[in-house]
Amino acid sequence: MASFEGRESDASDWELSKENVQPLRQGRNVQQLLLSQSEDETAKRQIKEQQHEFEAKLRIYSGDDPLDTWDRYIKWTEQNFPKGGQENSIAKILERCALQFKDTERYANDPRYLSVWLRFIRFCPNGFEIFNFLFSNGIGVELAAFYEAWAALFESIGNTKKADFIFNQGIQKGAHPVSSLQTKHREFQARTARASVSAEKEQVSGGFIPDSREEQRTTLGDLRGVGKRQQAPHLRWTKAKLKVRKHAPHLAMSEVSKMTTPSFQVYEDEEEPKISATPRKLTAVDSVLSARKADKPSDLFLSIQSSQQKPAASSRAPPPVQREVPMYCKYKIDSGAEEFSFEEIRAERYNERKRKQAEEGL
Amino acid sequence: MTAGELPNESKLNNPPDDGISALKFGPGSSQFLLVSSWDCTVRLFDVSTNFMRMKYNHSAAVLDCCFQDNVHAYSGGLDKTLKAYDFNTNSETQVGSHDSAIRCVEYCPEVNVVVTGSWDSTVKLWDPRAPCSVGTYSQPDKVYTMAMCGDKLLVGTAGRKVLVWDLRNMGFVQQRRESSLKYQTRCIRAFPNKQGYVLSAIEGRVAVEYLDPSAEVQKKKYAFKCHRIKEDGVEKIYPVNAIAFHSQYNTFATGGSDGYVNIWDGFNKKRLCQLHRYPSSIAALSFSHDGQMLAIASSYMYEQDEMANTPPDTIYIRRVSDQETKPK
Repeated sequence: MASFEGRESDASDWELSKENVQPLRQGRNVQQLLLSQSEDETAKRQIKEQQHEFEAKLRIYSGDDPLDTWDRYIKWTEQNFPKGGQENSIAKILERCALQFKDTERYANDPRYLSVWLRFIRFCPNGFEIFNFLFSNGIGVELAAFYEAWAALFESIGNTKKADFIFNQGIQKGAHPVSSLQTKHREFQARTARASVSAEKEQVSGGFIPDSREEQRTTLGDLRGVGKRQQAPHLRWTKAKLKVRKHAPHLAMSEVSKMTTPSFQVYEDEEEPKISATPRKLTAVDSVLSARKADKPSDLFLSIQSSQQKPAASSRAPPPVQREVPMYCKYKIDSGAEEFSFEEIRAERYNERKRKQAEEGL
Repeated sequence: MTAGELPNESKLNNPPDDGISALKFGPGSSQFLLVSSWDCTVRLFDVSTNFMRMKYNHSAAVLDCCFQDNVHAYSGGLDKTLKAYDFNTNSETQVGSHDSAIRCVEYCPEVNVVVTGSWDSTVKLWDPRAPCSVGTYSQPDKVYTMAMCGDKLLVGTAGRKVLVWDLRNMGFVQQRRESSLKYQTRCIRAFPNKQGYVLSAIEGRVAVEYLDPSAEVQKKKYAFKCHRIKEDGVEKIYPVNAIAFHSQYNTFATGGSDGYVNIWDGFNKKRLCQLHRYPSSIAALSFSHDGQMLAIASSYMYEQDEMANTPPDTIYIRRVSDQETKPK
């Protein structure tokens, strides 16, 4: 960092490539951001060394709060890898951390551990499943932040009823701090109330074409019977909508049928066996530069799925006897984002011991 | 101490005080065995008289060593330094260094070059005549294991990568491969007939691979499970840490953290024998050049983390029979 002190005037450098910086809820340290974006080789190496140091610490930590190292590592990674994407291993680190302590009772309601999960959920397409898993495993259930995040997820998909339910459940459980949860709940209620009032207003004033006397199409109207005699409802396009559609290329049925029967005759060789369907190549796939592979389910996701298949009551109990047991400390080999061999872990411990001995000798 | 429990097996006197990282029989003679250890030493044993001839030190744990000839040795480890040692004059030379620990040290007699692989994700070549560095070649990840296959160099790195280099032309990588095993690569050793190599992984599996990239030859490659123990319906899967080839028969021995040594006939897909269980993990194996002796390092590798009462680090010298090593 020292090498950058002389460059304070360049503090706005990062703005030149700010499209490469993912926003962080808690903000970013400008110095660190500059360092992480720098093309300077020494800066890059410095970051790499720091990362290696964190990775090593995760594996040789022997105190009583292993989460602390993870917590600092995650915060450091967020600050130092602002770009996201491939080079960003944050999702992997969050997942490994979440997985490692999921059965550690002591951390179940630790705000740091919950925040690991909440950050991880942002990378997951199936957040609800994870919230269900956390809830049934008692992770974060005493913390207000858990219910706030869960309710927010429901609200984001427009399920205000469920969101309200989650808020109430949190308040009922006395999640800590309740005051924050209650405030958030009130804000949420105000939001939904405002939304429903404005929606009503819109209906009263006739929607988006104020002077239209035509009936509106019921929103994505499914054919539900209306009235006593269960008559089909009006499902008309309003003038406004028809206008929009007119811009789109529109072909009458007669034109379409003309196109399908060409004016010339297609010559067919009668001796040749007929091919029932035109052989087609999937050119669409070829034209794509590189097709993105579907994300394979992660270890964590699989463990969540398996735990949800069994009854919730036994989910806190030790996992059922596995048929295969690897005879080495696997979680240390693939802890964090970097791979370590036995020798490397042993070397870290060896060096640590040597350092301590040197300190004691002084 | 001199006599083992078996008539054809003996324990070496004066073994290292800490984990054994590598052992190598000398070229052209089955008299000398070179042993590197986490206790910072490299020891030269005279196997025929069960006597420790010589010992020299590094400033930190030594991770690998090799013979150049019967009187010259090279070694490297956590002190990042490559040392050359002359047993005739009892003198050591610091040849050079890496940016991180040196994990592998090998000598290639065909090209007369010493090769080191490091956790700094590079391989360096050293000229034993000078001695000095003659080139640094970057690898995709940290180097975990290396093997010589004639004038070819096989490098196994983290991330399950395998690279094939030509020591006569280091301008480009000859082949970039991925391990056919799912888990971390522990060890790679080449067939003495230079057709291929054997790769072992951290979870009880070994792969037999061929270097010839033609589809016909590649069809012959395969992998098998080993070093697993079934108890009460539970299968315990152990890391396979060591591989050693019998130079004449092209058969090979594997050693696992289960404490077992198995000898295999790779071409006929047969297990020739299983030796008795050793007290701790098999950390290293080496056949003597004539294939009459097998050196076995039984030494805990901290694969299950810190443990109390680990068995002492021991080197066994076993006289092996044709029945145990020759294809049937």
